[in-house]
Amino acid sequence: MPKLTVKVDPDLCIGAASCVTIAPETFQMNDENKAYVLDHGTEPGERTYQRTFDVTADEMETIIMGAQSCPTLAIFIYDESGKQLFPDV
Amino acid sequence: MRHVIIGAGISGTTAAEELRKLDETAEIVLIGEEHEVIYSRVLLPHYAKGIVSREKIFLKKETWYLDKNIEWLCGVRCEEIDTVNRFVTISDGREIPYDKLLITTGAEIQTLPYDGENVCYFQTLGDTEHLIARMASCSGRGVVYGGSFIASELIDLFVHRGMSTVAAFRGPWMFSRILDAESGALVTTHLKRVGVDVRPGSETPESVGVTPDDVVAVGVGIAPELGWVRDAGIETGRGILTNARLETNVADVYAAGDIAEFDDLVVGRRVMAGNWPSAVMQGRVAARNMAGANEEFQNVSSYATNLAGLDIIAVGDTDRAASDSTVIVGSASAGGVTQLFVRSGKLVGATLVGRNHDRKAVTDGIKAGLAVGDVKLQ
Repeated sequence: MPKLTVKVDPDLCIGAASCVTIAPETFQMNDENKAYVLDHGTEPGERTYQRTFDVTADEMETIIMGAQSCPTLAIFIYDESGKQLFPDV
Repeated sequence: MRHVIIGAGISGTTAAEELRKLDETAEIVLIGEEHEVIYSRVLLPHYAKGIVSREKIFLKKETWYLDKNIEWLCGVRCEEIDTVNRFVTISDGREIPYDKLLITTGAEIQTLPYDGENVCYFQTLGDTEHLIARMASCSGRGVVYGGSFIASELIDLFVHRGMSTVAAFRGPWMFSRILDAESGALVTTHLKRVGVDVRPGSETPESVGVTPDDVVAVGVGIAPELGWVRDAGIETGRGILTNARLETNVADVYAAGDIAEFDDLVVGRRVMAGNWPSAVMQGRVAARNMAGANEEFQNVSSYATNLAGLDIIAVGDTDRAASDSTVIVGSASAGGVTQLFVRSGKLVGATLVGRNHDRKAVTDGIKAGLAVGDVKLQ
């Protein structure tokens, strides 16, 4: 199972919430109207803009779709080796 | 099983991907008018600003279609649907048979009779590249004509590029179809503060005296082309009418994305949701139903934009004509106005200008069908 690191840059996030619509298990909005990151719908530890967790191929696809829907490219996705998967560099 | 999808934008492409996931052996045909591989329209403003490079806006590689065994017919459009004999005729004359058909052709940009080399629209990659070229050679102003979300993106773009910017529109303020006077005043004040020349009540772009040196960018809305759909006996209104499962009145024919006028179970009436996340989600739901599921599409739709530093968000059903009343919270002088739309005693929609913090409460309130008095705004 691949491990992903998902990060939201709160300075870039404008609260469009398209990621929440597409991948609600991974993204939710906080009180500041910024998207934060969940691990399969849960929040182990404190509320955070970055998490690393295992995903299935399907889950990875959904998370990337969520990131692709962001109008400000505020979501960054990295693989286990730290390579940036999205936005493609 | 042979699935044919007309329209290779994000809704159709998402549906094709979902169908492949659900059925490894089904034949999937994806018919699209554009030649480019699927790209992100939400990133086009960033491409135009020079923040994102051209290659980054593409969402798939060209090999993806082949890898997924999706037959991608690009550069063609559907001319006719024969729902009795179950085939579609495309513009190169071919007839493509189907067992299940999904229509995701989106909406066409509305154009103005005003024409010229310096006139730009903003929907496709081609439009964006024309706009970029015009901005590069522009020695005059950036004139935006229109008062809605696309016009807002265009104003934001011109301001970002430091161009002398004119915002011309018919109504008394921008977004006058959804925004009340107080919210509208806040938008106007903000635009003036960032140096935009605001021209309400402009009947045409000519009314602000455009010259060939200006870039004239037009954002006056979109509307689906429905003649060929209607000819096939598929019921239409403003879009293709569907139930919450995105099925049309014709057996085995579905519609999703910007072209669908669907039963919105959240707000309790038929609406259209012309935005990216809805297109993605509807593509998925339609695909699952084509593959045999019985799933209803349920989502509180929303549209958000940042107009040169001011956040403007529409959530749920913001059709003023379809609401019984509205409630205004905040004020232009305080820098934030939220307008709540009420129907049958329930909150069904909201516009938020400079009040992002209300978003979660209104979205949850719409989802739960709360009375306005029960929605706790800050």
